[in-house]
Amino acid sequence: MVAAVDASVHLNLLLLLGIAVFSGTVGARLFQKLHIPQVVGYIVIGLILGGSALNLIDIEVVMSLSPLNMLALGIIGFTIGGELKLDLFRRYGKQFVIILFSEGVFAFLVVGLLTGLGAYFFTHDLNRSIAMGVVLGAISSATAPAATVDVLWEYKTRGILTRTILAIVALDDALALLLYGFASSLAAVLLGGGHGSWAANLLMPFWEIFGAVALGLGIGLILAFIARRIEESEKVLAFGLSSIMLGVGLSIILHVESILTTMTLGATLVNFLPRRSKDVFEVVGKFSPPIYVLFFVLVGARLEITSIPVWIIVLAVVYVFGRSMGKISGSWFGAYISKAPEKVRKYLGICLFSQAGVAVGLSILASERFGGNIGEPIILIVTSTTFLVQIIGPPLVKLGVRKAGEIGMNITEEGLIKTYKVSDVMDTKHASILDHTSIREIIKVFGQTDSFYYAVIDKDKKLIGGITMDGIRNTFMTQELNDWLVAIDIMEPVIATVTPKMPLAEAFERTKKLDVEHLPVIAGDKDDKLVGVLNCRAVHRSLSAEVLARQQKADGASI
Amino acid sequence: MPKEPELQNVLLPQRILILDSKTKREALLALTDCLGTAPEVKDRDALAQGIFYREELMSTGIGMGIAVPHVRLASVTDPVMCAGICRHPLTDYESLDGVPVRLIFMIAAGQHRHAEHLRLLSSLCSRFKSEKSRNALMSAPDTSTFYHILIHPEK
Repeated sequence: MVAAVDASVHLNLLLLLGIAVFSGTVGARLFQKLHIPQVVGYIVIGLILGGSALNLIDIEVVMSLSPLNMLALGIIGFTIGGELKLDLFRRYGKQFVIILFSEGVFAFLVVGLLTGLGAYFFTHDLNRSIAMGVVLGAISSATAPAATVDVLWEYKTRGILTRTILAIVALDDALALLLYGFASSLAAVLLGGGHGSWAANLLMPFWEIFGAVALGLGIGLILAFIARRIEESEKVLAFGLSSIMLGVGLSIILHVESILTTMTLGATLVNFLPRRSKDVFEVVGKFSPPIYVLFFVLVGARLEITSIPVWIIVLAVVYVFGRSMGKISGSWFGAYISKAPEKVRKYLGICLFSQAGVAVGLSILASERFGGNIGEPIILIVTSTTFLVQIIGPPLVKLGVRKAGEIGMNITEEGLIKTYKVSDVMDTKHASILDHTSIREIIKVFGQTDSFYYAVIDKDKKLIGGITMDGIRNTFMTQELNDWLVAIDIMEPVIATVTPKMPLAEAFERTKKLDVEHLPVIAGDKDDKLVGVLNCRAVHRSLSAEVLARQQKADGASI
Repeated sequence: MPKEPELQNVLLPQRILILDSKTKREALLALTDCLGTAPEVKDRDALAQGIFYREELMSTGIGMGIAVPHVRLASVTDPVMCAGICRHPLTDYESLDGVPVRLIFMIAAGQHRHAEHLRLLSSLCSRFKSEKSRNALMSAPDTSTFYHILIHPEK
């Protein structure tokens, strides 16, 4: 009987997981069509499925899935850590740290001041208002890496702004924790309800941060040691994922910061094993999409946006305004002081609006610690503003990187192929030979260009065959015939064609299947007039050059 | 190196014709009619069309009184050939050297048999290199002598 009940509970949970991931993915697709980053789609679907609307995913479900949430945060941390290469820090370290402190502390100060004043206006309780202000200020300094990084990945950005965003979102959770540690200690004293000594309260954040770094470093070194010795990607995935789980699990037991642990794990791996670690990040990256989707859907499901008192709404608006101003002015100031490029100064601030896991987590911590006194308002303010900035944050990140010209700069050849049609890359210049061209002329044409294939056309430009290097080679043995043979005598029949409108990826698929390097391009499915030749080798060469040029442009522009 | 196609495998004695034609067109039609009956040729009309289209592009009168009209077609399964001995030298053939054509060798091959086709052409033309064998072919009294001289050329 018990077993049966258990089974049904599991089944329901699985069904909910299926619904969440499936509809989240569908939602993302719809939002993508509207050119809104997919993460907003996940969260909106979460809102619909969650307590704000359908209540399909209630708080109990969210709680029961918290291990998966932790794993998602762990993977996000790990992936971000993988971006933190030491040579990047050597080059930009000082700049990053200055900007980080500036944007974090500015947000802390502006939000702290404004929400403190706002709270005093409504409550006329000085201590309570200051306590609320400092805690909200500390929470506001955190920037959610997940939603921000998701936009960067989606739009394949590369450049100094992207690198700065990555470094800042990777590190400012640590700063937020530090600030929260001090703020909550101060709040506890102000409210007179803190437990533990001042010293213990002050030391806690240090333990959370340095403990996490030590733990991540330890596991990272073990993983690097193992990854160096294994080849198969399944095992790489198993070791990679289990290390993330170990990191998150141990961080919970040790009361250290989970994201920072896996971030250090990722950073350790990428710096100790720069080349081999690529595989680890690649397989973990391939495995993670459904977990991410679930994570963001659950973020949406957790938000209760239906029953909020007016004064909380006012404070929430003040919080969002103060946080945005703090992030923008702090980023600008930090970038200015550290002499960062203009586009970092101009656009970094608007890329740091996103707020999610850590902020909500800290607000939950605050509500547990301070209860109804300031805890409940804080959790409501952070939750409602999280929704707002999660909706406006990702589009602003997109705007920032677009203005900075970094979109599409991190493209791979494969990614580039997906954006092209045959007409974009076909050769129209060295494409065809008329059917009556003599062998001598054909040999001359082949000798003068580096093309290995020419389509043969008749006088109406209709495609009738093709001449390959092999075809030319055959004529070397029968040179006595060269005086009176023409193109039509040595051409090979057409085995397949492509059209200008065909996606390049599909055309390449066709060449691979037929094991050919070239395919003639005809005007349309029903019009066999030749318009060009698809030369796979030349296209790959120019695509590689394009990828390299974009990367160089992105990297060069950043200096 | 693939083996050269043996001429006796592609040319049967009964596909050697004595032609009374007075023009290139008549001669080519007579030969396509003959070659069109070979089991290797599945579409006689396509053969005639292909042969005439090829002539439009460039004359196959290779000089020294010889013409080698040829075509590769999807409707031909294996290389096949017929020959014509012209009673009246064809002056309208537009040979490379302007000499009227007296011997015509018509070849049809499969569309994909590109290398084989070239080797067959080469093998055939090697027989016309010496003036002696050319003369022997042109003065052959009948088709069987012609066939014998062609298949067993003097070394």
